[in-house]
Amino acid sequence: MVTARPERIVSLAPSVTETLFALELGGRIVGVTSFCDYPPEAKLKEKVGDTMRPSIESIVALKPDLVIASTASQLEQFVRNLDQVGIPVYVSNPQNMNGVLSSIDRIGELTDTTGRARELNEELRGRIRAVETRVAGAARPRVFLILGREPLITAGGGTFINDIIARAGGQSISSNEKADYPQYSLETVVAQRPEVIFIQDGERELPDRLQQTPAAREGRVYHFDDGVLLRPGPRIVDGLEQMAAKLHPELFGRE
Amino acid sequence: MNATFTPRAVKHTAGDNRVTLAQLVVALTLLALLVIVLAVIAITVGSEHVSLAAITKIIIAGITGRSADVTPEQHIIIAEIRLPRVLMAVVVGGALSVAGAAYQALLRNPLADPYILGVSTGAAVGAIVSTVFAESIPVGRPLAAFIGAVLTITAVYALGQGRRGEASERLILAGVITNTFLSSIVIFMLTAASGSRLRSIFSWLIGDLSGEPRLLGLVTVFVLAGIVVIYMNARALNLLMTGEEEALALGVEVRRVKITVYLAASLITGAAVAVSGVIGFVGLVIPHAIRLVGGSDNRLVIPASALAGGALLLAADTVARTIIAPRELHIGVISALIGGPVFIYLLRRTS
Amino acid sequence: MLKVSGIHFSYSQPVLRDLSFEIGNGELLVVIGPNGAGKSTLLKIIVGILSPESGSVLLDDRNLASMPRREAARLIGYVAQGSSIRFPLTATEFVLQGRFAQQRLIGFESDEDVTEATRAMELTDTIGFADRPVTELSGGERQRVMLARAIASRPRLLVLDEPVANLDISHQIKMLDLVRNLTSDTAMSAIVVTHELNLAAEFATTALLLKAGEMMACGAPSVVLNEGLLQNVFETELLVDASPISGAPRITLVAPSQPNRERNV
Repeated sequence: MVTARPERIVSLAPSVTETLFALELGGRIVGVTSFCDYPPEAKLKEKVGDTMRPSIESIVALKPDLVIASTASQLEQFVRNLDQVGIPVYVSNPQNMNGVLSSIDRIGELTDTTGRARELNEELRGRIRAVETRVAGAARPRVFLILGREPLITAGGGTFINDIIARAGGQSISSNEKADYPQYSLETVVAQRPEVIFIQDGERELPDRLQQTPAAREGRVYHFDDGVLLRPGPRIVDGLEQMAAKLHPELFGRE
Repeated sequence: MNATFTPRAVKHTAGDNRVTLAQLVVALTLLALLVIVLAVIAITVGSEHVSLAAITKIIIAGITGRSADVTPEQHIIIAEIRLPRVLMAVVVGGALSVAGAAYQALLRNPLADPYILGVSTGAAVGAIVSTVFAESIPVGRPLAAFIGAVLTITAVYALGQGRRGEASERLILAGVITNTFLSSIVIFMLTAASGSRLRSIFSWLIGDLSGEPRLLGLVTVFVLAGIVVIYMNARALNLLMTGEEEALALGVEVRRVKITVYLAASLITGAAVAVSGVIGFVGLVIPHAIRLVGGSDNRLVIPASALAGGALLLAADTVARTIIAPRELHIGVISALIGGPVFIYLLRRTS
Repeated sequence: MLKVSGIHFSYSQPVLRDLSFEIGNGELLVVIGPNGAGKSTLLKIIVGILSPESGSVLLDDRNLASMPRREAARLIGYVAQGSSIRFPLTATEFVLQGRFAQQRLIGFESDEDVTEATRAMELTDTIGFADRPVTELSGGERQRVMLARAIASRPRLLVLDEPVANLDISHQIKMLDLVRNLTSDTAMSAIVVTHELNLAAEFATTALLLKAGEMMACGAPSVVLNEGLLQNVFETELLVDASPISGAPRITLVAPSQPNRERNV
C-alpha cells in the first residue's frame, strides 16, 4: 500500500521524527507533533497535534503518503481510522535497543533510504558495542530509577530503560519487576542500598528518606533528560553512553 | 390514661434502647484495641523483613531518646517509613469516616460521603496545578490541595445559600454542580499534562498513603481538633437528623451547629485529601456500618467511626504494600475489597 | 401565659396580618381555618422557628425574641407537621431528644431524663415500641412518638401542628384527651392546629378561626364554631348543631345534592 518512495511523511512521535532526520529525510517530512523538538529544524514543521491525540483533519489536509506512529502513544484506534481513510500507516514499536535498530531498518526500507539506514545502524551498533565491551567485567553498581516521586514509581524489568541500565553496566534494583511502571516500596529501595540513583527530570530532589542511601551520600544522584533516555530513537545511544559514564566514571574519564 | 407512673418498674423498658456511657466506653475500647493490634501487625510486616528485636529496640530508642543498635536501613524503614505510614493510615481513615458521619447527619442523608460537597475535586485541582506549575516547592502539593479544598468549600457554601439559609437539598445541589464542573477541569488538566507527571498525579488521585510525612504531625493535630469539635456537637446532630425545625424547637442553635460541623468536617476532609489523595469508600461505608451495628446516636457513631475507619485503612494499606511486594497496590481498591464484603455481611445480618 | 401581639409575616406575599390573641394557663386553643390560611406559619412564629416582621410573642411575660434558644425550648414542646426521618433511631432515643434543653452540652442521659421519657411514652401509649426504630413505625405511631418527645421536657406550652392527621379515630380521641388532661391537670397550655372540626369542638377551651392570615374569630368553641361563620370561612355548606352527648358544637358536612339521595332537612 505504501508508495515506493514516499515524499510526504507525517511523524506521530518524537522518536520517529528524530529517526527520520537522522536518515536525512528532513526535506520529506510534512507534519510532526507538538512534542517533536529535536533536531531544532523539527520545530519548524507543520504540527498535527500532540502525540496522544493528533488531529486526523490536519493529517489528511497534508496529503501524506506515509504516516509513522509509535504504539507508545497508544493510538490503535487512531491508526485504524487512518487506515479507513486510505492513508498508509507504519507503526513502530521498539521495546528495547535491538528494536530501535530494526525500526530504523524498517523505516529505511519504507522510505527508500536503506543505504543511509544501514550506515546509521552500523554507527549506532558500534557505539553500543563500545560501551558494552568497556563495562564488561566491571562490578555492576546497584541502580534505582525514580520516575515518580509521590507515589514512588520506577521502571520494571521489561522496560526499555531497564535494558539500557543493563547494557550500561548497571544492576537495576527493579529488574525483577514484571509490571512496566509499578508503584514501588520505599522500604525495599532503602534496604537494597542503591549506589546510583537516576531521577526523571522535572521531579524534585531526592525523597528525604533516601538521603541515607550510598548513592545520596556519595553524591551519585543524577537527573536524566526525558528526551534522551525515554525516546526510542537514535539518541537513545547518546543516553546509553551518558548513563555508562555516570555508572562507571572510572572507565569513561571525565566526559 | 392517667398521668401517674411507676418509674422503677418501667425504667427497664425505656432506658435500655439507647446509648449509655458504659456502652460507649466498651465499644470504643474494643475498637481501640483493634487499631492497636492492626498497628502492631503493620509495623512488623513489610516488603523487607525486619526482626521483632530490631523493631523493639527502635521503638524503645524513640521513647527514651537514645540511639538504637540497629543498621541505618532498619531504622529508616521502621521509624521513618512504617511508623509514619501507620499513623497516616489511622489519621486519614479516621478523618474521612468522621467527616462522612458528620455530613450524613447534617444533610440528613445516610448516603452522603465526605466528597459530596466537592472537597475532593477542589483538592485535586489544587494538587494538579501545583504539580504542573510549582513542582519544586516542598510540601507544595499538600498545601495547594488544601487551599483548593478550602476555596471549594467556601464556594459551595456560598452557592448553597437560599432565601432562608442553607437548606440541605440546595447545598447538595451546589456540591454536585461544583463537583461536575471541577471534575471537567481536572480531566482537562490531566489530558494537557505530559506523560510522566500524569502517572504521578493519577496515583495520587486514587489515593496514596506512601507520601512524605513532613506534614503528618500538623495534619494529625488538625484532624483531632476537628473530630473533637464535631463530637461536641454530636448530640445536637442527633436532633438535627430529625429535622432542622424540630431541632430548633428543641433548643438547638441550628445555624451555629450547621456551620461549625460543616466547616470542621470539610476541613478535616481537605487535610486528609491533601496528604493522601482521594481515598473513596471509607467515608461513606464506615459510618453506615457503625450505624447498622450500634444505632444512629452520633455520640457513638462519631468516635466509633474514627476508630473503625482508621482500622480499615490501616488493614487495607498493610495488605496493599505487602501482598505483591515490593510492588504496591492502590489503597482505594484494597479498602473497597476488604470493606465491601464486610459491609454486605452486616447489611444482611441486620435486615 | 402566651400573648401574641400584632404579628405580621410575609413570604413573597403577606401570610399573617396583625394577629393578636392570648392564651391563659391550662387553656387548649385550637386553630382552625382553610388550607393556606397561615396556621402552620403562626405556629412556627410562636415556637421561634420564624421571626415575624413586626409584633411580638410573649411567653410568661417574657419576649420570645430575646430568649436564648435553650430557654425557649424548655418552655415549648413542638410537633411539626409531617416529619420524615431517614435514620433508624429507636423510639426511646427519639423521645429522649426532648430532654435536650434540660441537659448539659456533652454527656449522657440522666436517670431523670429516662424517667421523664418513660412517662411521656406511657402517656402517649408508645411504650410498647420503645426499642423499635422510628423508621419502622406507622405514620400514626410515629406521630404519637413525636408527641411524647414534645412532652418529655414538661413544657409550659405545647404547640402541635396537625397532631392527629394520620391517626385512627380511637387514637385521635385518645391523643386530644391526653392533651386536654395535660392542660387541665398541670399548668400546661396548648395550641393545636387541626382540620378535625368536631374534635376541636369537643376538646378545645378556646378556638381561633383564621382565614387568609386574618383572625376571623377567637373565643369559646360554641361562639366561634358558628354555622354562618364556618360556612363563610370554608366556603362550603355545613350544618352546626349541638352534640347530644356533650353539648359541644357538632359540625355535619353537607354533601352536594345527588338525584338518588334523600335529604333530611
